[in-house]
Amino acid sequence: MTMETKLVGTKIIKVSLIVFGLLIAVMAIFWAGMMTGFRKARFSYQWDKNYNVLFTRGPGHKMPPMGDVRGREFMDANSAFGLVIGVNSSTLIIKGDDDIEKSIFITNQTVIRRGPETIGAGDIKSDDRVVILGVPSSTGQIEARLIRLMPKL
Amino acid sequence: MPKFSNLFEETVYLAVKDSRLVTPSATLADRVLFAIERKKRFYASVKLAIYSLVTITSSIGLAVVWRIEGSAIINSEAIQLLSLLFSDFSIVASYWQDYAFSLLESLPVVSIIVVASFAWAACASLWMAARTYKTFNHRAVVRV
Repeated sequence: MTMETKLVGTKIIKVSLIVFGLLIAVMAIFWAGMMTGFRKARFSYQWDKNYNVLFTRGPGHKMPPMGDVRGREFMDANSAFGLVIGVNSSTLIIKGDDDIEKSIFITNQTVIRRGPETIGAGDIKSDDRVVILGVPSSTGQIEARLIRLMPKL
Repeated sequence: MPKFSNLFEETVYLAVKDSRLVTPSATLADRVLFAIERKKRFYASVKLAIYSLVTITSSIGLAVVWRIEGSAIINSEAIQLLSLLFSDFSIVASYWQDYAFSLLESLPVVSIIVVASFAWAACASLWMAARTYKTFNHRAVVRV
């Protein structure tokens, strides 16, 4: 094998590895996008299906005008950020910046924090600004794992 | 004078015989190289002008786009979720899969793509302009 053949072979291998690596990266990104979209679509469907149960019987209920929630983008299924508009011992109603309400279910595993302190569900008041990390439930709620109260501006 | 079968062979013979016709001047090589270099510098200056124009345009576009989309990025839920990484790292680490999905869901992708595209165009065109300027600025062209 001549030197030129060796060099060309090395270059082909290098280019092939780069192309293959890029393909893998693109497919991984595509998969992540599909999974995210599916989760959002599924949660949005469950939220819409259970809207009457969650928001007309729960605290802070507000029935939106017909067609108000149609045509919007799918909702985030694992988190919520916004203003507390309704609260009781086990449920929060959050209104996001997109004016969509979400029902947050507080469990025994939920950690609620304000600053460095851990507080109880009873310390959450209306008009508090919160960030919530959780798990979507089959009833269109988010089971909160962490609720962090943001400082008032 | 030998006999030739065609006019071409006779012409070549006469041209070679008279060495003045085929002997180049002493400065021909330098003049050719100078002409090539001058052409290269002309094309480089055209490229530099185009890259500079793209840099200026994309920089202005970046400022405009940031004004429109910047608040969407800064006030997005993703930034708030990122702050949880610093304030509540242990809980975020426990539910890292849910956290990862929540970040992916809340990213303002379109805004980021638009801003990043303009920023990339500005940086890339600036880099190309600097490279073109550096390549052709220090070359000395000696007139023959």
